[in-house]
Amino acid sequence: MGTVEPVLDFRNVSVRRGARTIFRDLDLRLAPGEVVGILGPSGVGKSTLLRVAAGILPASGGLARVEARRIGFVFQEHRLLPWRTALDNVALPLVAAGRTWRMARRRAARLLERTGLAAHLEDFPVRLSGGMRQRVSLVRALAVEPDLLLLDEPFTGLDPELRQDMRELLETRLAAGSPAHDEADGGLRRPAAVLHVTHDAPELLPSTARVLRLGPDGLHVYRAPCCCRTGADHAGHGHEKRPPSE
Amino acid sequence: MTCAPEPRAEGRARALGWRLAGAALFLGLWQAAALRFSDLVVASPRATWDALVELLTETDLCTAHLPVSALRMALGLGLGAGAGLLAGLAAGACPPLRRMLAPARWVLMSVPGVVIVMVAMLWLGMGTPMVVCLAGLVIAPTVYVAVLEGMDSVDPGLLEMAGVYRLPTAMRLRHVHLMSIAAPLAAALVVATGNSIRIVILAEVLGANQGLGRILAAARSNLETARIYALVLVSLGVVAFTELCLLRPLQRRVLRWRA
Repeated sequence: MGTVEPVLDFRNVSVRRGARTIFRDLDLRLAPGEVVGILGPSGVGKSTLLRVAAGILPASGGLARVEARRIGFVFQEHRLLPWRTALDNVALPLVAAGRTWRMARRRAARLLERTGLAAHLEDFPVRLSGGMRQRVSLVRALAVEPDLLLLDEPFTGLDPELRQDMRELLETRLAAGSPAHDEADGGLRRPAAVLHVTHDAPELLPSTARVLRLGPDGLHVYRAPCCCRTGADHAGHGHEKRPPSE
Repeated sequence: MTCAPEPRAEGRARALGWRLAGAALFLGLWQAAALRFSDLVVASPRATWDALVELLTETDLCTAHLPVSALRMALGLGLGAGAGLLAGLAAGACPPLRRMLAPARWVLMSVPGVVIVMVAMLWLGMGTPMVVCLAGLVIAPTVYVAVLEGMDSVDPGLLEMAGVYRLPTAMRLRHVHLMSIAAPLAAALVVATGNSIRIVILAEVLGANQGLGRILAAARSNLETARIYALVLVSLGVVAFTELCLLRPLQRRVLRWRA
């Protein structure tokens, strides 16, 4: 069996803003379907790492290769278009990907209905609660069937119950490969690689295969995975530096 | 002590009551001024009303002059708004262009309207092209500034989102940029509507052989004060129709997401 092409391959990636180095010489690889959690304190560059992965911020140095046809991004703040309804916010990326508005709206409606937002399809974001907006943002990210799903502290600011609901929703939708979770069900046809950054370890998804810690000195293994979801061979993708103590 | 929320219908009736009280106060002051001064200086409300009825029934105002002025106003508004919108979008996206356009914007907003009328008459002669170009020139900077303000307020987070989901340029322009500038643009269009009728009438008074301004110039020559006042009411009616029947509903529709 040949080696699996990584969805994301960062080698010695550095990002600078003016004279300030956000991070440097960062190595990270993500296999298809792999769920990787990145922990780190605020301001260490976690969101910047995701922005480089999304292709909206160029790396200042190194090689940042992303082999994803479609990317889903759940931002820390929802980033919904305030002048579009919940339905259209989810449908818009689908239209950008080539679907007609009618098809896109139909799919968006199905996905939103399955996440408990059936009564709010035509509501503008201003009329939705914070949790609902974040759910719409999550559905938008999943609707495009991403090869790479980027999660930037998606549960921040949500109450514990809603946080749990969101985690379960995400886990359900990430469950790929099962006939019960095909496109019609709103799941992902192909397993999406997930890069989930947070400053709070308990927020990580149960299916997280590897947990890394981003600090001023780069990425380090935070702890060994206790429950690998896919059982994929992660050894080939682990280029992260280990701290001296480990 | 707490105040119970006012029922909607009652609130509307109260607002209407205040408006009617304001109008009554205005009419009262107007009548008082008419009694105090000669009717050559201030025409009374009654004389103005009679002149208005005469204008609407006995002259070719509705068949010839009003349509001409309305068309000039609409064309000037369209030309100025279109030019301001395009220039604003381009300047918002391209800072060097913004700096290049800054002096022209400043000149157009600073030079008195009557001076621009004189220059336009020299360049374009008298008639519709001069009036339309003039209205466009006066309106464009107002719209341009509003569009620039809107472009500056585009949420960079939404642009990043558009980048992640690979929205094509046309979709970004329509769903992010144009909607971001909708609120300041709508406000600028309301101001521009008032400006357009003012500048069209001014230009017609000074250099056109048709339109409301032409009748106004004739009324001024004949010292028909009541007719001048009546023409003011006609022009107010044009602005009110454009604003209340066209712009406000459009504004409500485009900005309905704010409710």
